[in-house]
This record gives sequence, structure tokens and C-alpha cells, in this order.
Amino acid sequence: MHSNVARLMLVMLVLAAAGRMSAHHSVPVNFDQTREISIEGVLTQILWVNPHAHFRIDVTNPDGTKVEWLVEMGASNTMKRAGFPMDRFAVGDRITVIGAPGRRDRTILLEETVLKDGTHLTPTMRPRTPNNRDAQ
Amino acid sequence: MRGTGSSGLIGACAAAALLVALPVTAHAQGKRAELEGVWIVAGTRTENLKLTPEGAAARARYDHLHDDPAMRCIPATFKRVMHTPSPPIEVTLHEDYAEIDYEFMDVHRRVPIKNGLAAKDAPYTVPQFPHLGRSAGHWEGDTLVIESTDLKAGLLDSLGDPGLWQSDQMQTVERFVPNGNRMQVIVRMTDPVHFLEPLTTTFNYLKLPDGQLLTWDCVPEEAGYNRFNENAPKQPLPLRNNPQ
Repeated sequence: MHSNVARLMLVMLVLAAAGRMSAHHSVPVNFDQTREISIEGVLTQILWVNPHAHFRIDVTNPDGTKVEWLVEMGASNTMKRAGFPMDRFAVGDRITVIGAPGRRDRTILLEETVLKDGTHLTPTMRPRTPNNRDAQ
Repeated sequence: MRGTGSSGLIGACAAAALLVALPVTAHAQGKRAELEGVWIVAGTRTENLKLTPEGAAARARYDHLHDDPAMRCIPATFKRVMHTPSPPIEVTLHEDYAEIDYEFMDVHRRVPIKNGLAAKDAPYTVPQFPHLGRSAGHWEGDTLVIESTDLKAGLLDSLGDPGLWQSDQMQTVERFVPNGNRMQVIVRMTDPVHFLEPLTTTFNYLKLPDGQLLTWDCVPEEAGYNRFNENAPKQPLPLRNNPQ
């Protein structure tokens, strides 16, 4: 019983810390968190690093052209502690990324991702509150 | 020791054997031992921020792309390190020194604990990052007090209080205050070049049961923001502030 309470406390602390990432100086500088967009593409690069894990994905435009997007996340260690299943991502996978658009073209801050099997994941592994609804 | 004869000799031998079997290092006892463990910051508060004209001018010029040493995997100061919200820290107390490990940037700190030892006479507290200065510790009751000097001029903070700078006159006093599964680290910073009066930042920590530090393994090529710019040069942006 005591160990279960301790584990629950640990999870809550880690999630709270992960939530504070939104106040990190680099987030508002690089992303518009008042808006939300959604993109779908194929993973071409996966970097589970600190301080910011990131992907690159190839998104196919309606006209058939492909463009590369940069998908940004928080610290890999924070996501690991939250239980984010990094082993479920592989180059070549098709994923959907939902999040805040970057202030530079073709960048997005990942707030939720949908895997090819339909699994929804957030970096904190808890449900999120969507940003402003202007999903593209 | 009372006792004569064979029983006294046996008792003496047993006591000697027990002393030999005991570990060489003795950890802190009582309330001081509450400082030991893995901690995660749960809130911070900065007070008495009063900048000199030079401090205000430096803050106005702050450009995180060029001035934040974290872009090169260099921790600016312990204040900056402790402001990072999720990577925990670990405190281990030994008889005459404290180990403080910070997951952020893999900072491994060693602080000699000895009454009368001046910080200026202590070794660099983090040999890998000498700009973090020299630190010496002592106990005030159950509070571990760490005084630091020989800090290099550069950025003081890029996260909790971004854009604050320090000169090489900076002196800090950190108080690690135990309180069960909570700890406060109260940092008092004195720098007459940038601050009219000593600045204080309080870090409130909660203990992580079964907590464990991971390696941070910062990669300079990935620590900056060049990846946001398709035309960015392959090398990191030139650093105006390089404490190393």
C-alpha cells in the first residue's frame, strides 16, 4: 500500500514537471500555443535527445509534392519518466501530429500524436486540452 | 573498559572486529540525513530583484540564441540548472563532503564539508565546468550551507529569470534545508556589479521515492535552434557569452 502511494506520487510529480515545460523559454519563442494544427506524414528521422526530442516527417501536399516538417517535443528524459512508449516509433511509420504551429515554416510542437494503429499519445501520457481550434 | 581476564579480551576483540567491519564512510544522521535522496523541483520564487544600471542594460541586450550557454551544452550556473523543471537532482552526504548530482547537463558536484574551510581554498566544485566556481560547505544545525566563489562572469539564468547576468564578483550562499520529504534550497546571490542588493531564489523540492537520475547526454548539434532554420549554418551560432 505504501509503495503504491509512493509510485502514484512519483507519477504526479513527473507529470506536473512535464506540464511546466510549456512555460519553458523556448516554447513561446518558437511556437504559437494559441493555435493548433494537424499534419500527417512519414517519419524520416527520430531523435530521442535532451533537452528537446524531435522528429522529421515527410508530409505529402494535396498536389503530390513532399515537404519536410520538424516536430518538436520536450526532454527525452521527461517523456521517458512519463512512460511515453518511444519503442513504438520507427522510421517509415506514418503518424499524425497535432500541436502548436511553429513561428517558422513547417515546424510543430507535438502535443498529441496518433500512431498508425490509431493509438493516441501525449508527451505527458495524460489527456490534453486542445488549443484554439483551427486545425488544418 | 571494565573486566579482566578472558571475557574482557574476547569483548575487546569483538568490538575491534565490529569496527573493522563497519563501512569506512559514515552518512549523515538524524534530520540531516533527510537531505539525502532524489529530488524534483516543485516551485521556485525569486525575491529582491533590483538591478544596477549595468545589470538592467545587460538584461535588455539578452538574446537567448547567442547568449545561452545551454545552446552548447554548458550549464550557466546552479541557479539555471535548478530552474529546469523536470530533471531531478540527487544528494548524497558523506562524512566530510556532499555529492550533489544534477541530471540536467549531467552536472556532478562535490562540496567539501569542513568548518573553517573558505570557498576560495576549495577545489572547483564541478571539475568538468570550472566556471561554476569553488564551493565549501558547513552545517548550521541541520541545514547544509554551501558558499561559492570564483564564479566566472556570464549568464546567470536563461529560464526562471532569463537574461540575468553575473560578474566575476558574484558570491553565492546556498542553504539546503531538510523537512521530511520536502527540501528547500535557498540561494542568496551577491554581485554589486549587477544587483543593488543580494538576490534570493528559493527552490522547493519534493523527494522522489525510488527516484533515479538518467543521463542527460546533451548533444551540442541538437541543443540549439539551428534545426528550425533550413538555411542555418552547420556550426552552432557564435556565442557572445562563453564562460568556458
